[in-house]
Amino acid sequence: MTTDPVADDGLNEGLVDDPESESKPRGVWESLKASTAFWIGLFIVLIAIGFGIASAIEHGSPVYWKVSNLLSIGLNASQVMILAIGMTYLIGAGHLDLSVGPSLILASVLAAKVMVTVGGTAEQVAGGEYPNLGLAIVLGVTAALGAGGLVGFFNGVIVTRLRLSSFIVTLATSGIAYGVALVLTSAANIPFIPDQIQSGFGGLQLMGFLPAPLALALLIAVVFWWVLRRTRFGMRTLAIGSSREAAIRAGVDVDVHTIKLFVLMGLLVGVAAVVDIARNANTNVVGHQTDNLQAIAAVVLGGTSLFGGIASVGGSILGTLVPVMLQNGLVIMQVAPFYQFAIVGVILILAVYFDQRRRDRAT
Amino acid sequence: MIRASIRRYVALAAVVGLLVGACGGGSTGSDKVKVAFVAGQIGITFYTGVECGAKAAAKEFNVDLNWTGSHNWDINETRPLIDAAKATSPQGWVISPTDPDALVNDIKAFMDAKQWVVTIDAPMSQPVELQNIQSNHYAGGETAAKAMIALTGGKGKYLVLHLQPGLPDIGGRADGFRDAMVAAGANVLEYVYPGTDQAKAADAVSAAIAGNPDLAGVYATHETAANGASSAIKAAGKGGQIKLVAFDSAPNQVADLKNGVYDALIAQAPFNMGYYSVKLVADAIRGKVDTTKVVHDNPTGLYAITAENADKPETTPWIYPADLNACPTKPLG
Repeated sequence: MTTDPVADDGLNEGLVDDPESESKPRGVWESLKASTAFWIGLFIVLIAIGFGIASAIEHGSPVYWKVSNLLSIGLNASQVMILAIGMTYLIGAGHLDLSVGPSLILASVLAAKVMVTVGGTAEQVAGGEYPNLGLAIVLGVTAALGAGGLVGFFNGVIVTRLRLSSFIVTLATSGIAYGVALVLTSAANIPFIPDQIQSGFGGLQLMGFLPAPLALALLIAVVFWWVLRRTRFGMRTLAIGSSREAAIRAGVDVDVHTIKLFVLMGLLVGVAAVVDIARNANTNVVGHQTDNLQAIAAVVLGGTSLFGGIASVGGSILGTLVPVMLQNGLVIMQVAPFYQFAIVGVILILAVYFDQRRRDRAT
Repeated sequence: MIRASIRRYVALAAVVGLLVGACGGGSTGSDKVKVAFVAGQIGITFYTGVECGAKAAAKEFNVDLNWTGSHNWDINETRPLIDAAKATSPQGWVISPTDPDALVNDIKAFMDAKQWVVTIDAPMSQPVELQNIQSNHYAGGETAAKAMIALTGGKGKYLVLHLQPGLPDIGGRADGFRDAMVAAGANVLEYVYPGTDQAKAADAVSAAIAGNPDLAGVYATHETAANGASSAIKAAGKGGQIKLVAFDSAPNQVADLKNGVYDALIAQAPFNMGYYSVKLVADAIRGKVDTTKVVHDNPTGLYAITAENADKPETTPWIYPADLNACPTKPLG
């Protein structure tokens, strides 16, 4: 067993503890070098510096660096962050969930209906009065989590029991969820959602500056990072992604664990649905068409492997920021919108390419 | 190895910085006012028309215009654009409200901070902005119904291509049509929602043709739905048999009108929306207009283009520009 640092060949990517390296504590720099999250973080800092300078040239002062601007970037990324956290676990276990957009719509629509029904009588609610506001919000949030979790459970059961690819199953459930949402709402947004959820959470700034949805997303990220790195649940997730057969032989109940992962994703979809209603004081049946791809792109950009077995929650969080930062900067620079779409795409390809080259050289 | 990677990332950032520096808009002159324009859907000729009008007004009234817009009519795509433009501290805004409720608080905050806001193309649920400039969508739907009845006599079934559930402007166009048709005794099928996806619209029309042999007419409430409908009707060989009435007058739609695929087009006035919104914001910033006396609802006109008047000179300005090289030079009317 060698203690030569050069022999640490980067296979572990700094994310799953390797028994061999426990004999010699890995240097901080070694760990950072091997972690994609670190390089994406560096990339983000460089983008920020680049746009800061460019915006200073354009507007006379580095408006990109305004605290309110940077925080608004985080706030606009917060829903995708929440989805990306759940997607990190699923991809780490070798699965995908394409149903997150319509599932979010369904969860938000059910939550809104519950809030409006419980909040007061039809006349009171139409007039903006909600005598049972607290109860309405609690039950609404529960409905969102329940709906999301139920869709996740459905996904998990179909994938494991029928032994079908999660790609196909979740593609199908996205259609089912969307159809159910349209039937329940007769295809319109739910009126009379209480404004208080916007002033009390969606638009709230903690300590005077930190947007509440961003704080929530970061809190969830910390918890899930810890679970992935430090608990058996996290280890089993990556084991399943790395080698399903080996995980079974090691005694992991792969089917049950997989269902748990899909339910977890569903619960996070429910949380994102609550954030969505809270930010807009309205449902958004129109949107969420590319939520699934945005979440997956963020996860891949952050270093999680699409083949399973390697995952990084921190990387996914940073991955969600990259496209939002780019678009924000390009708007500040008054770049014509058509160029914006192309530039963001090009930069994403470059970022993933550099990361892949780094990984190839490390192995 | 580390150094090479860092060098690469630094080079990348430098390239990005240079690229965007080169693409930046003009610098601010002495009396220039800064206006941020957040359009609802980039990539359709309607908004090319809006852009023509906005940029014409920007040139004429000395405005530093930051023109931006989202790919889809989606509040979650609009918000980050508004947040980014906020950082440039504009003195005024023109916004397409892609959701009638979600932006109420933001726009109220802008107005309180004396950043004047004019909205275009769609309504807000509360009249918090300085002025709203949009077509009278419901009346446009009624005009479309009148044109359809003139073509078919009101017999047979009719398909309405909506956009997405929950949109008051498109909903107005659809409801205006449906109510007028039903009042005339016609049979209107359930609304279809293809979004801004041309292929989905085509699929829906093909299905309706297959399932309803007595389908007499299709009404498309916006440009992409119209494109999808026309291709489906052409593919089924029913051009001219199934009457197609559509909102918006993109050049390819007008060409199809002359070829008999469309029977009537309801043209809006996007140039006017872009032009007058920027003009009003600039005047408000400069104190040239008494903002307390500004009328809130400022509907723009509509014009029905048919095979009879398609080639007449008075129709030409109502056809949307294909790109920024084909801009009209002045507003209509």
